[in-house]
Amino acid sequence: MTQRILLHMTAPLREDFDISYHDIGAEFGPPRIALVAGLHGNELNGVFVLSRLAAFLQEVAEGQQAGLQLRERAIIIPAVNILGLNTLNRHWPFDNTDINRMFPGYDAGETTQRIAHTVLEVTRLAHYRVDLHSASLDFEELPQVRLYDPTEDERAKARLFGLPAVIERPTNTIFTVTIGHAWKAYGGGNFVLRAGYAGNLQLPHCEQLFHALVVFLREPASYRERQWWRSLRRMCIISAWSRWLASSPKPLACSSQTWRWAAGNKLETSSDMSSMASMGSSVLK
Amino acid sequence: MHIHHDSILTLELPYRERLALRRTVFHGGDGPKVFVLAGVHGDELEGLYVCHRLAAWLEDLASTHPEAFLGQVELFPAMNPLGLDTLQRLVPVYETDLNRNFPGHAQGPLPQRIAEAAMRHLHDTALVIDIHASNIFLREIPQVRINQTFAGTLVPLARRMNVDLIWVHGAVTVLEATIAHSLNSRGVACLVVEMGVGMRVTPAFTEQLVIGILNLWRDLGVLAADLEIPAPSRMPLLANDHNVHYLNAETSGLFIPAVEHWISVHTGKLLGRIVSPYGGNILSKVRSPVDGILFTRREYPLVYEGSLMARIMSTDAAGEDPHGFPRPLGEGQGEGVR
Repeated sequence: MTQRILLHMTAPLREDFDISYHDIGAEFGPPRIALVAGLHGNELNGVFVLSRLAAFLQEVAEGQQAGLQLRERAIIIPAVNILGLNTLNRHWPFDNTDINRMFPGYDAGETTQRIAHTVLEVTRLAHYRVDLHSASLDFEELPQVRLYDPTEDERAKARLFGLPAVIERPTNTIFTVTIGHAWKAYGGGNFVLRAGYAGNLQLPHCEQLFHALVVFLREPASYRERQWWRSLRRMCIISAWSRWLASSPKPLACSSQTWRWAAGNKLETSSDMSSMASMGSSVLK
Repeated sequence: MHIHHDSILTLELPYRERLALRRTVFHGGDGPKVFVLAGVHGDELEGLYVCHRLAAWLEDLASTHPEAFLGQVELFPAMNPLGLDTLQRLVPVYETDLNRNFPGHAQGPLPQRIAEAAMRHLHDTALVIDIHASNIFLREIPQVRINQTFAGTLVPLARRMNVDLIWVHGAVTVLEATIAHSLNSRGVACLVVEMGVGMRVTPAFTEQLVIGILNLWRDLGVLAADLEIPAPSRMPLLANDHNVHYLNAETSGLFIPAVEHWISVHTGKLLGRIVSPYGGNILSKVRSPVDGILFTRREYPLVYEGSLMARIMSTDAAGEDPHGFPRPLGEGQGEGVR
């Protein structure tokens, strides 16, 4: 495993700790893709998915996945906020800052600014960049791709993930301090993937995310298309997500979202997530 | 003078409570309207006491010189009432910083609704003052912080606030989702005050700032020009991105300061030590990189590497004043400037 140290840090009273990353594939040249998860310490789906993806790509790189070849370099950071992860805290627990509100960061600044700077440095040269999140503790998100003021290329490539929804949103004042916004300064394709809810793992969502990332990586520049496709179909037979692949709906493109929020009432869902809703139908009560 | 209390936003909480964004309105005449905001962060109490002192002063004015009150003052001491009542900096449940949610959204989650209600309400005003303490980690001298983009309008106002420092930030370091940036972007003048330390009140800073606010209100026509108010005693230093030096911890440990806050320091001056609780060793010595004035000093002892311990404004650059400031008070006088 090509696991490397992204940042070595001391702690006031505990042992030193590291934020690590995986550098897999071609040794030279900029990464084709960089993937980041765990900027929020209580969002576990992305951490699990990227850990698994790193192991999978390492197997591919070592020739242990028959018919597959890793042709490009991939950078994977499964967990940035490891102190938050170990204490199930969305924020950096010491000062309660949100690491995903600290970008682009500063190498001589506050702790979380330094972390943000380091993460940006190792990911910014990639052609594609993906940031994985869960929703908060309060909602569950259908696995989706989020785009912020996307380019035409981002809009087209977002569909390659094969997730049920692609949501476009305008850049807003909150977004300007996130890693997604910092990445946009370097061009390329930038995607935020969201699935499930914080505080726990939702394995079906993880399967879908893992599958989506692998599908995305089959882009011809990363894999030999034909070999990949044959391999993928073999894999599908033995995995639960083959059924999903067969019935994968076309991505839904949204140019705007209507937010509904209620106070003073306990909410109960009256329909399953991802089911279709007609105008006026009850989705919450 | 008419005084009343009401709310500009009320939201039902899940169980038998309501959240209200409360204000106190002092109405004198048809002169300019001004606002004072505090408690955007639930762990910052300095502004709450400022609101109390301003309210007490206005109530006294109502009984002694009501004719001298020409405008309207609205005090919002608790912008984040849930956070204040539960001792949390962020908005409880949503775990988000209210001051990263502006301009907000009327149909959004609770923090964005508070932000939207505030933005909708704060208009047709001569001035909004948003008072912050520092967080629990740092102690700050009374200061006004201004985005360079709005410096032309705001620095002349800030000069009359009786603060010790005006800090003009470059545009790249400014957070766009704050209430101040959102208001100033819409042409509503908003000054951000920082002073003291989180979870505490510093009465001396409060009295200093109240004098500045009253003088500024009089200059704006909220108060009669002939009303007698104590004169400002501070001539603020002017800080910017070039003359402010940050001292961040080289390693984690326990920071023990060696100097008082708000003193003149010289290059190499020992400001504190980072020590190990596990042994008698000193992990790091913190020294001033420049000759200057220590205007931020760490209050909370534990540090991670990177934690901010101090900010120093170099005094050799203090005279390079694009806004025509005179030389700062106390410069070169050694320790104990204030």
